[in-house]
Amino acid sequence: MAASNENLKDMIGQEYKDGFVTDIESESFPPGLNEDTIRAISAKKDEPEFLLEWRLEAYRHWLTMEHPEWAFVEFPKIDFQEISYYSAPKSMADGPKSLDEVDPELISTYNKLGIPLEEQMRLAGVAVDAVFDSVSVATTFKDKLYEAGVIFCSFSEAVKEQPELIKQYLGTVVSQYDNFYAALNAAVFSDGSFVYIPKGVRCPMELSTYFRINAANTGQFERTLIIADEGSHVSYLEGCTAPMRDENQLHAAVVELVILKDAEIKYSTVQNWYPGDENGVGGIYNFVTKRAECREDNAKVSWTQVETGSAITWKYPSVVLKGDNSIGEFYSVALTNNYQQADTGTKMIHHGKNTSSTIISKGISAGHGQNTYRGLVKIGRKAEGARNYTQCDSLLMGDQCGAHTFPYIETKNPSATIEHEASTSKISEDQLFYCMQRGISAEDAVSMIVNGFCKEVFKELPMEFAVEAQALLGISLEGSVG
Amino acid sequence: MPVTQLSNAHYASLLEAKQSNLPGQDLDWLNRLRLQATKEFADGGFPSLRDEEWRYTNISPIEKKQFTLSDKAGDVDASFLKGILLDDCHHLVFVDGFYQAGLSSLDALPEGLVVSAISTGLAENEELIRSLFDSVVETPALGFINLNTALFTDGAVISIKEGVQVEKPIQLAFISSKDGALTVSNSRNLILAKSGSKASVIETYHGAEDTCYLTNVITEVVVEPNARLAHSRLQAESLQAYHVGGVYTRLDSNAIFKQYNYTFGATLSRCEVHAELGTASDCDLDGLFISQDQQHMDNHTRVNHAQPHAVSNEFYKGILNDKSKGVFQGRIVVAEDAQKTDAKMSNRNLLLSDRSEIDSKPQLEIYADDVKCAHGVTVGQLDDAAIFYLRSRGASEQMAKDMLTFAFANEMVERIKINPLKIKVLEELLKRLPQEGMKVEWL
Repeated sequence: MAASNENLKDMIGQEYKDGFVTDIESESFPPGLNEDTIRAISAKKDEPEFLLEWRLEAYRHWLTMEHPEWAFVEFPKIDFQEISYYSAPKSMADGPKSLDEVDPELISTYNKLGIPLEEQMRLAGVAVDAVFDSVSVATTFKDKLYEAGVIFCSFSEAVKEQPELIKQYLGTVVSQYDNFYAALNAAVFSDGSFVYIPKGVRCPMELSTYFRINAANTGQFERTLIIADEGSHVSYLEGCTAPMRDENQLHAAVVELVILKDAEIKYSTVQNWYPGDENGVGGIYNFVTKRAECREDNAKVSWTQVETGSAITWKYPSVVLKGDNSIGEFYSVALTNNYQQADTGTKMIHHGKNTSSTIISKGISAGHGQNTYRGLVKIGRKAEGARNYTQCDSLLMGDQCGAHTFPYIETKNPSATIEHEASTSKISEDQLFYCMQRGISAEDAVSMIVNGFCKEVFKELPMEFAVEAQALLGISLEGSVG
Repeated sequence: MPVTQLSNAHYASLLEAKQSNLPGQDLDWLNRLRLQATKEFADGGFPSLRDEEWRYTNISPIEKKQFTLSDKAGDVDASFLKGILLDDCHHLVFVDGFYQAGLSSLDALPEGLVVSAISTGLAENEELIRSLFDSVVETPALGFINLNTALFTDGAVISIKEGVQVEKPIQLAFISSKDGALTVSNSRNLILAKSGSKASVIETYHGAEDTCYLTNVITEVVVEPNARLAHSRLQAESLQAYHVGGVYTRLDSNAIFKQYNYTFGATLSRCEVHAELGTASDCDLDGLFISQDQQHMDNHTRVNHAQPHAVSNEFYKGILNDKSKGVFQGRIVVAEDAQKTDAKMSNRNLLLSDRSEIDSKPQLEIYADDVKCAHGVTVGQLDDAAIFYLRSRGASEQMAKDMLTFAFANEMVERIKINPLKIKVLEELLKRLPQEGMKVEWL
C-alpha cells in the first residue's frame, strides 16, 4: 500500500486549481459595522424605506445576540468590525445593460472558471445570474424567462421592480431575528438572487448562479429568495469557487425558499471555495442559513449539496413541512481534507399530515478533517402519518481525521414512522482487493468505491453538476487508501 | 432571588446542617471531597435546559421542592419488603439512604467476596473505598454528582477477589419509606471485580406509594482484566418520586460488562450509564423503559472506546403511553487509538398515544479510521399487518395490540439470565401492559 499512500499525498497535496485574484478596482467601504454602514449600504442600493427599517431592526437585534458556540468547529473569534461590508466592481456604477458592457476582465475571470457567459447562453440553456463580489454584473436569458413569466434577477433589481413581492415574502422563512449569522446577513446583505415562478409554470431551463468571492477582506452576505407559486416547478443550481487568499473570509448567506400548493423546487449546490492550505491556513468560513417552507399542500423541495471546499462549513439546509402531503428531501456529500471542518446536516420539521422526508448524508474525512453530521427530525403533534427516512454514512481515510454523527429525533405523534441509520467505516481491504485482483489499479479502485459511496447523492444532481462534483471529489481523493 | 439560587443555597447548606449524620466524618480525604463538591455545587447548581446534555429534561421541580436529608430510616412494611427482595440472592437493604442490617441477609457470603455497607464497613475497608471513590465518575462533575459526593449517607461496597466466581447475585435494595417523604437520599455504591472474577449485582429502587422524594444514586464500577460483571437495575419508584441515577464503569482489558436497565417508576427519572472500555473488552448495554400518565423518562448512555479491539452493543427500547415523555441519548466515542473498534447502538420506540413524545439522540463521535460503528433509531407504532393477523385468529383489536406491545417489551426481558429478577420485571411489565387472562407463572 506504500505506493498508494504516496498517491494519496500527491493528490491531497494538489494546489487549489481555481486560485487566482482578478485585479479590478473595487469600490469598497472601509471595514466596520454600525447603523451608518447599514444606512450607507441601503442608500447605495437605493432601497425603499421599509427595507432599511428591516435591516436596522435586524442589526439592533443582532447586537443583543451572542455568537453560537455549540457547533463542532473551531476557529478564532471573528472581529466583525474588521470586515468591509460592501464591495462592488467599479465599472458597475454605470450599470451594464448587456453582456457587451461588462468589464472584460470579469468576463475573462469567468472564462478561467470555465463558465463563459456567452457560451453558456448558447450551449447549456442555463441562465446565469453571476455574482461577482456583491453586485450582480450580468443577467442572462432574462427575456426568455420573462416570456414564461419567470422572474429571475438580482436581489437589488427585485427590490426596485418587485417591491410588493419582496415585502410579502422577505424574511418569512428565515426571519431577521432567526440566528446570529442570519441576523447579520439581514442587516448587511449586499445582493443575491431573486426568483419568482408564477402559477402553473414549469421553468423552461435550469437557473444557475455562480458565486465568487474576490476582493480581500470582504465578507459576502448574499440573500437568495425563491418563490414557487401554485403548481410551478424550478430547478436552481448554485456553484462556487474562490481565489486563493491567506486571510479567512466570512461568507454568511441566507437562502429562503417558499413553496406553495403543488409546487416544487430543486436546489442544488456545489461548493468548492478555497479550503485553506495543507496547514489549515486561510480558507473560507461558510456559515449559511438555508431554509425552505412547504407552505401549502403537496409542495415539494429537494436540497442537494456537494460540499468539498471551505475551511469551515457550517450549514443546515432545512425544510418546514407545513402543507399536508408535502415532501422534503436532503442529499449531501461533505468532504473534509487537511484541516477542513464541516458541521452540516439538515432539519426536517413536520407539521402537516402525511408529510414525508428523506435524508441521505455521506461524509468523507481525510487528512486532519473533522466531519460532523447534525440533523433534526421533528414530528409535530398534528403531523399524522408523517414519515422520515434518514441514512448518514461516514467514510474515514487516514487515522488523523474524525467523523461524527449527532442526530436529534423528536416525535410527538404516534402515527409517525421514523427510521434512522448511521454507519462509519473505511474502505475495506476486501473491496480493494476484489477490484485489484480484477486488474483495476488501487487508485481507480478507490475512486470507484468513493464514487459508489456517493452515488445516491450524485444521481440527484443535474447532469453538468454531477460531472463537476465527481471531478471535485477526484481531485482530493482519488488514489487514497484508508 | 431566582429559584435556582435559592435551591443552590438550600442544597449546599445541607452539608453543614447534616454533617454529623454522614459517614466518615473523621476521614480527612472524604471531608475534603465533600467540601469541594459542596463548593462546586453552590457555584454550579443543577443542570438546566440550556445544557446540551439536559435539553430534553427539565429538573426545575427538584429545585423548587427543596428536598431535605432525613436523619434516620423510616419504617418499612414487612409485606412490602417481601415483594421487593429477590429469592436466592444476597441482600443489602437501604431505607431512606441508610443501611438496615436487620433487613439484610449477608450471612453465608462465599470466600473472597466482600460485601458491606459503606457506613458500617468504612473502618475495615477504608483503603478499598478510598481507591474506588470518585475514580470512575467523570469530571467535570454535574450538579447531581456533586450533590451525591457532598451528601451521600450510605451505599454498598463490593469487592470480588481474583478468580472468584460468585454464584448468587447480590441485590442492593433501595427503599424509600412513607417517613422519607420530601427527602433526598444520596447513595453511593462502589463495585470492584478483580482479575478473572465473576459476579452479578442487582440494584432495585422502590418507594412507598404516593410519596414524593428524590433518589440520587451513583454506582462506580471497576472491572479488572478478564473479569465478568453483570449489572442489572430495576427502577420501580413511587409514581410521585424523582430519580436521578448513574452507573459509571471502567473496563480493563478483556473485561466483560453486561448492563440491564429497566425503568418503570418515578414521575421524572434520569439514568446515566457510562462505560470506558479497555483493550478488547466487551460491553453490552440493554434497556427498557415504559412510561405512562405524565411520567418523564430520560436514559443517557455513553460508551467511550479508549483502547483498541473493544466491542460494544447497545440496545434500548421505549414504550410511551398517555402524556408521558421519553428521552434517549446514546453517545459512542471512539478515541484515536481505538482501532478495530466494533460499536453498535440501537434505539426502538413505540408511541401508544397522541400525547406521548419521544426525543432520541443517538450520537457517534469517531477519531479512528479502522472501526465499525453503526447506530439505528426507529419510532413507530404497531404493525397493522400483525394486528390483522391476530384479529383474523379471533383476538379483539385491543387484545391484539396488547399482545404485540407486550411482545415488543418482552424481548428485553428475555435477556435477563437471573430468574427471580426476570419474574419481578415481568410482574412490573404486566402491571403496565395488562394481558387478558395472562399470568406471570405461565411465562
